Amino acid sequence: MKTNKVILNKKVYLSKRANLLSIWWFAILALIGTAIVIATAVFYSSHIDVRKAESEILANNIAKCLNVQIVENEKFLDSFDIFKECRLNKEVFEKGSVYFISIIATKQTGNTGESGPYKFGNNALEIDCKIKKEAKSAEKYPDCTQKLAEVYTMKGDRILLTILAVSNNDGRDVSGGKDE
Amino acid sequence: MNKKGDEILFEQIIFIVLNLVFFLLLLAFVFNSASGAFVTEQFYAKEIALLIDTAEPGTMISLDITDAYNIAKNNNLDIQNIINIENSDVIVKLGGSRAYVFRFFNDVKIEKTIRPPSLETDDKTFLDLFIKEKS
Repeated sequence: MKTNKVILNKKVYLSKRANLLSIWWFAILALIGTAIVIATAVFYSSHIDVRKAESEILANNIAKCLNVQIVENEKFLDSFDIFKECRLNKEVFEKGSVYFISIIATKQTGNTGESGPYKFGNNALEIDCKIKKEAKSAEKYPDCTQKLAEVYTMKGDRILLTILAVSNNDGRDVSGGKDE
Repeated sequence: MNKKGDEILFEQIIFIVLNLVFFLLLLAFVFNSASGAFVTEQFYAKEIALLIDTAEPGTMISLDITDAYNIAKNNNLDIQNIINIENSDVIVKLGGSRAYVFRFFNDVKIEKTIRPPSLETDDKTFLDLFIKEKS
């Protein structure tokens, strides 16, 4: 009796068991595979954004350089070449540049007044900078750094420098390169 | 012989083999992507450019580029040409037919040397950059 029941159960199992290699199994595999491939591709093709760091370095370099020129050499922007004195590559700031610098100098003692803005590089980036400031999300827009620096001249004048440095340098992928 | 039983066993073996193949392929894809050249090229190009931008003339920079060296070695590239600095551009090439280019703004002269792994470098690869005043 018991043996008959076991045989019966086995028959039921053999006839009603789920097919392992069903279309649903392949669908699940495809789903898992696609999700992992997409996640990996998104993660490893991710973009490293250094525009903010670059704009900060540019602003710092300008501030340091202007400090030396104004304090030690008693020169200001209308009397010296910023590219030469601040070691900036002029070609990089020419037409189609990915950089922009704006400098405003405000004299705060004696005959107070403002000079500038002295602008170098791609002027369009300044507008993009303003848009980015107001927009909630503007990833494609350039990164900007504004720096205020107070400089004291040998004559005792206090000058406030407002430096805006903008970078939209994103690098580029080129086919070829040098040598194999 | 139990023909139905053989069928079930065969089906289960196929099922396990297919699953193994599928997950091995996925693992291979993930590892291949993780050791891919693109992110490493971008990483080194940007790091080197930022280092150059912050450097003053007279600075000597030594950067550990062992990761880049390993990828370039797997792709049979000449180690001395994986990183080049030309006309304010850092060019990093670790893959086959393409390279990553990143611009820097510091107007300096750069002398580049790549030191391959040796006992002296503790089996690591170094990129030495000597920043000089442009004449």
